[in-house]
This record gives sequence, C-alpha cells and structure tokens, in this order.
Amino acid sequence: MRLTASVAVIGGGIVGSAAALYLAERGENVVVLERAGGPTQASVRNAGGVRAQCRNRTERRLALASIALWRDLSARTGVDIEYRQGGNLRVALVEPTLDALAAEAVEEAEDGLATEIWDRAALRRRAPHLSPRFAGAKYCATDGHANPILATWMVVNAAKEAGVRYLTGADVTRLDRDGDRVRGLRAIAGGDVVTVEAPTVVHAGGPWTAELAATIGVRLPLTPARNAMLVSQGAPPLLAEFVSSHELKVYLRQARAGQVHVGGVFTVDGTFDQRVTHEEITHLARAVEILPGLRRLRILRTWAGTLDLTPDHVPLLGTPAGVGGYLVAAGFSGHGFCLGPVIGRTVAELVTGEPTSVDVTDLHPDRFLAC
Amino acid sequence: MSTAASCDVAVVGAGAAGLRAAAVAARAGASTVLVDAYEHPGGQYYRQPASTPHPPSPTQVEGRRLVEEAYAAGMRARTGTSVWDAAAGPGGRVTLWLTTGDRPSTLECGALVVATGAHERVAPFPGWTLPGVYTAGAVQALHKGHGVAVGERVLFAGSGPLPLVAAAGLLGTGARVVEVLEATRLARAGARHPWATATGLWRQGDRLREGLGSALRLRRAGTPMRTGWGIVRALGDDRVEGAVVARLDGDWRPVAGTERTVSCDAIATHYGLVPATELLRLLGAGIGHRPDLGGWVPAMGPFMATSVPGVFAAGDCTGIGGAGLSVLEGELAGLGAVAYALQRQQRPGRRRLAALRRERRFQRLYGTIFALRRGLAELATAETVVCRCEEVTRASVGAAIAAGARTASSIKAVTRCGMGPCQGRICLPAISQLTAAAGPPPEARAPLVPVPFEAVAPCG
Amino acid sequence: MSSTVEIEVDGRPVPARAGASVAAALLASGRVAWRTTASGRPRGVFCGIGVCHDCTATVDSVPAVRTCVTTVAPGMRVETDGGAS
Repeated sequence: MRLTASVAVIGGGIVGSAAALYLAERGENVVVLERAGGPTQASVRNAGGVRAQCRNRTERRLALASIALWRDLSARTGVDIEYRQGGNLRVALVEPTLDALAAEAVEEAEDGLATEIWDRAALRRRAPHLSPRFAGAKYCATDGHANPILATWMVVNAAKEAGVRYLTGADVTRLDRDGDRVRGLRAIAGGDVVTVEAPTVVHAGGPWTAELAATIGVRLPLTPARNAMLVSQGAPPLLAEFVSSHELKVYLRQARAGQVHVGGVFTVDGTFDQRVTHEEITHLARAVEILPGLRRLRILRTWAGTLDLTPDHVPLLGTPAGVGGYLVAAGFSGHGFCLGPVIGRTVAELVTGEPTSVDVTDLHPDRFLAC
Repeated sequence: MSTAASCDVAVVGAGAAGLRAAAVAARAGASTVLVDAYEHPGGQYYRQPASTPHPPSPTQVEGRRLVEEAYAAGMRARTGTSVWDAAAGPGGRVTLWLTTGDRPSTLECGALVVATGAHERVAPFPGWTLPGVYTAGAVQALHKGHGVAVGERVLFAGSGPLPLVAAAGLLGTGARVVEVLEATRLARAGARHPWATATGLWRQGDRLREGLGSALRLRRAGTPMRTGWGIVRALGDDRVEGAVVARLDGDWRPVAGTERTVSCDAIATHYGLVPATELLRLLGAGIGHRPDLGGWVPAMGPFMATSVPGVFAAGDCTGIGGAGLSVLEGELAGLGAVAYALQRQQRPGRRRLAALRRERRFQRLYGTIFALRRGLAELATAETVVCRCEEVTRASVGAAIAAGARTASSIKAVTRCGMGPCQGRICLPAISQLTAAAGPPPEARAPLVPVPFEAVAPCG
Repeated sequence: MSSTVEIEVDGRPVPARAGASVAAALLASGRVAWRTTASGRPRGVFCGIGVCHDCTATVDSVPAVRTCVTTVAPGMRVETDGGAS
C-alpha cells in the first residue's frame, strides 16, 4: 500500500496525536502510524498530573501554555477528562528543602505563576490529612490532574474528527532518508508493507524513537526507564491535591472515582521491561508516609510505563542538523502527558514555519552533540 | 512487623490437589507448608461445612479424609492466607508474599506446588447483573457451607455437571428448583463421540453415581431437566423476578419461536470452569491455549513441573479435570517438589500411572462433551454489562475493537474491563469468548489479591 | 448444634449463625442486595467465593470488605451503601 501525506507522524500517543490535530487544523494532510490499536503506552499509564510548578523555566512556560490548551480542548470537544484543579503540593521533609522551594517560588512569580510557601504550621492547618512529619510545602492552587486515558483519547478522537488518518497496528520499520532530507517512511501493517511519502516526518515514538532514528544516522540520547505506579480501590474523598515528595520519592493523587494513584519519583533505567518488581511496590506503598489515611486502603493494581529519559531530563524537540523534514518530539522524561498539547501545537508551528508561541530553542536535540 | 519463614515445599491451594501434594511432601520428609485463602481447607469441591445444620455429604466426608491425611502427615497449614506477590529466585527458591487477614508475612521455599484450582466461567446475558443471579458455585457454597438457600424458586441454567449437582443439593432445603437447563445436548454429544464416551466413563463409578444420583433426586422432586435449553435473559427491575429461556441449536443459539418465561426469584448460572493461573503467570510459567481444558493452561513437564524451575502445578489450574485427577496430579507434583527441594529421586507407582491415564481419558471426554459453543457469546446485547466491576457494556468493547484494540490487554486499557477489584477474573474469560480476542490474558501482576498499604509499606 | 451471634447491619441488629459469612447472614435476613454501583445499580452476592467483589460492605470501619468470605463476629458492625432490600 502506498500513501501520500504532507506530514507523517510516528506514534499515536498524546504527543503524536496532539501534533497531528494541530497540524490538521493548519490544513496539513496528516497520517499517524501507531504500532498498537490505540494509545497504550506512557500517555495512558501516568498519574495525569497537570502542573506548572516545580519545573525548569522552559518547561514551566510550556506547562502554563499547555494547561490553557487542555482547558480549551476539553471545552471545544465537550469531553469530560475529569480535570480537577485541586492544587499541587510539593512537601518538604526538612528546612533546607523548603528554602530551595522558596527560591523556586520567586522564579515562578517572575513567570507569572502564583505559588505559596507554607511552613509546618500552615501545612498542618491547610492539609491536616497529610502526615505531620513535613517541615512545610510549596502550593500551587492552579495546578491539578486529569484522567490520562480519557484525555489522550479526547485528543486522538479530535484529531480523527479534524481529518487525520490513523494507521493502527502499523510498525514503522524504515525512515526514507535521501541525503539531507527525509522523504517518508515504510511500515508493516496487517502483514502488508505500507509506504508513506511525506515531505515531513514527525517522530513521537517515546523511548522507541532512538532505535529507528539511529537507522538514518541520528543519535538521540534517550534511555528507556521503567516507572511504576499503583492504584488503590475506590475510597471516600481523602485528598484534593496532587501531593509529591522528592525526598520520599513518591507522589499521589485521588481520581474522581475515588481510587488513589501513587507513582514514584524513581526509575529503573536502561530497560523496556515493564514488569513491576516487589521492591518497587514496597517503595510505592510509602505513600502512607505522606497520607496516613491510606494505611487500611487496599492496593488493587500495579503497572509500569516506559519513560524516555534524556541526560538533562529536558525534552528533545526540533530537526537535527542535516536531516531536513525530520522533526523529533521525544525524551519527555516523564513530563509528556501535561506538555502534550503545547508540544503538539509547537510541532505544528515548526512544520508550517510560524514563529513558535513558546521559545523551545533549549529543547533542540543537537544540544547534546559535542561542539 | 512482618514475619518471615522458610520451608522445603510450599503448596498454594488446599483443594484436592493441594491437600494430596502437601500430604505426599510431608510424608517424604520435606518441611511442608500449605497456604490457602479460605478459613477451612477443602477448596471448592471438598468445601467443608462452616455453619450448616445439615449432616456432611459423602463428598464432604471424602474431603475430610484428605484434610486429615495432610495434617497427619505433618504439614503446617496457613489458612485464611492469600498470596499477593511471588518471585522465583536463583536456584529455584521461590519467595511468596502473604497476607493473613491483612497481616503480612513472607514464605520462602525450595519448591512450590501451585494448586489454585479454577474459577467458574460466566457468560454475560441481559439481566445477569440483577441481584438474585448467582453462579452455581455460589449457590452451592452458600448452601453447603452455610445452610442458606439463595431463593425459593431457583432456576439453574448453563452447562456442565456442577449445576446439576448444586441443584440436587438444594432439594430438601425448602427451596424449589424450578428447572435445570443444560445447553449441551448430552445424548447427541455422547453419540457423536462414542469411543471417548465409553473410555472416558470406564471405571468412573463415583462420578456417574453422583451425576445420575443428582438427576434421579431432581426427577423424584418433579424438577424438569432439559438438555439443549438455555437462558436468554433475566427479568426484573431491581432483582430477579423471572427468566426467558429457549431451546438451543447445536451452536447454542436460541431457536426462534421457542422462548418462554419462567417464574423464579433466583438464577444459578455456570458455563464450565476456567483454570486459575494468575500465580503461575506471575511467576513466569509458560502457558498455552487449550480450549478443551478450559482455556489458558501452563505447559507441563514430568512430575507436573512447569517451565519455571522449582515450580510445580497440579489440579484444575493445569486444566479442568475434576477431583479424581486433581488428587493424582497432586501426588505427582508433591513427589516432584520433594525431589527438587531435597535433591532426591522420586518415582510414581504403576497403579498411579494407570489411574492417571484413566482420569485423563475422563478429562478429555469432559472437554469434548462440554465444549463451549459460539452462540454463548451472542447472548449479550449492546447494553449488557460485560465487566461487572467497571460496568462496561458490550457496546464499549465493540467500539474499542472497531477503534483498533486487538488483544485482551489493549481492550482492557481502552475500556477499563478488568481494572476493577476482581482483577479481570470474572470478565476477561468472557471477553475473550465474546471477542474471539487474540492472544493470552493480560500479564498477571502483583497484587494477586487487593492488599492493604500497611501490609506492604516498609516498617517505619 | 450451632449458636447465634448478633451483628449490626446499618444500625439494626441482625442474628446470624455462628461461623456464617456476613453475606449468608444478610441473605438469611431477607436482603438480596446491599451495594450500589457507581451507576446506581443494586448488587448482592454473585460468585459467593470472594472473587467478584460484588458483595462488599464496610465492616468495622474497613471499606470494601468481601462479605461472602468474612465470618460474623459478635458485635460486628456492617454498613452497606444501599442496594434494594
């Protein structure tokens, strides 16, 4: 089968689908190639955090823009993605951590993001359901969380409505590089070879991006890493905020149906293996040290996703030098869900040559090339 | 603080297979621990009375003997204890993470026998989520274990020997069994496989007595029993008030014009058994699809060894075969586990091997006669809930497949089927029937049963 | 001969046979459903052996307890979230 498109997108997760949607809205003829039957990887396995606080400057600006896009997408599609702005709370066990958070708050204020520092007493007063062990916290009232499965599917369906063609069960096996340009790709779908001719290829394949990119001589410093999560049975309301502790290396939030989702601020690097070990489950159960009310609730399920880590944990976005028509959007290092819409819009802006709404020069993949 | 223990042979599941495996292992000198989720050993088939006023049945007496034999052999039992995580370590040692009424502990063993039995297979039909619809096993458990009858006018509809036996069990409790419907046209099926029938039933006197005895008692009580009939839907607003039943063709599809309404206040449904392989799959045992044995079953080697060194399996979790076969397999697995854990040679007796061959013939007959037919998957309509926990309808599953979901895992990810507290045990076999879905069940992951955070969190 | 145990269901005393499951006691007391699903539908016992989680109730303040595999104890407090009686 031969297809032509103006843009071929590799990867049907949140990033690829958002890119496809915003490209289609700019009049591009888009085809998305997705290996599974729909989004099944990181996009739908995360805790759904939608936050702007506690990020580096570039990602903070991207997140602020992305949050606005999430609200816009939900409003115009009419899809309820269980988005709740219950606040994000970064708790600190010791004073030095709180001091560092206070410094971050100053920078956040400069960028127009309002965050508050709560000392021990304020934390006890404002969040009495949390453990009294913390020295304080930084709180961002406008942050929150959504349901990543509903949210990703909302974007996929919006893209389809906008005319994007989705080829599912399609494994991309080759990128067609002709000198200094990429002109398309080849995939196997349903046992048949599919050739797609497209002057632009957007590569949003998560941790699987590096292997395929290497076949056309593009070295992307992506490390696959397992990140596990667990979910409790449904419970009465215990927690409005998305709470995270980088010292205990665990975070949690409560979904609308009542299940508490717990994730870890730790990864098992260098593997695509998604089997969760006993040690990871034991570690995640430390969420009880943040929310004592969790003790008697039952853990119902565990799962893991595979992150694509870059050396600086900042995403890769841009066209590597010497490979025209090939745009990499990967390496989200665990931040891909929240940033999905704004990355998608930025991809569309880059492809159509518009000035980007957020400056993404810091994200260029070539920053890792030896100078 | 959790407690840690170790032993030579651990057996998980105290049904027919597990009890015999534990007895054999303990008698051979291995320190043996038998773990079971329920308060009393016996499993489903040999369920011991907990609070019933009725005298024990012959089956319960048989079960009691197996239990006593296991205790007398010197095994230690940990009842009311569930395995929620397990890992096969180097050198074949297996670590089990357990909870006993929410109290954590670990058990490390030199060899493990998994004898986790089977779940009942259910097929969604319109109205099956109404209160008053039970599995045949639930009816039996409530009656045998607690002397409680699920209703006053009970309809049994499904396929397999269990509903017949469960129905006969209800007689004399004050509940009236209004009808017993078996979807398989038994006489026709038997006639189509004469050799399998003859050889399969050879020397199965006890089994035949149980089945025929149940049928005779029901006949004496005036209960109509029909083969080639089945339920089409349950009726009622907030509870069962009746059912629509119909004659079925050879593919189990309702025959037009034969539908009639049955007045009842409880429905017992059952469409065979599904091997419970969650623990085996969590340990990484290789599995294969054997519809004749109930679905996905572990690949088995000599002495009931699985593909994981040090892990053995026995009983219905290796393929549905009934109590007689389970006991024999338990013996073999027990011998295999002892040999592995204590580095010894074991050999089953010639009579045992002959008995095993005989039971396997029955197993093959059972799988042939009671095979599921295509029409079963067509009972559910678009609005019928197929995942009870998450209330996912058949229409949602269909939409997921239309959108490209091909495997059980991706159907689960997209529709949420299997993400509820039953962890897919009830719905996933039904969904794989409904969708003729490709491939094995989604990967088994800990926790195998919901486990409290405080039982898992490290102390401190 | 078995003795009787008294448990409390939704604030009311319910007699039960010693050794019975909470579900058996609820059924014997005439209730067929005692849980309401997210979409508002009633549920009671389905599988009877602790697999399906349809029969759950809050027992002694612990939520989501499977009543069919929980034995009654004197003074046990069972709180259901509805279902039909």
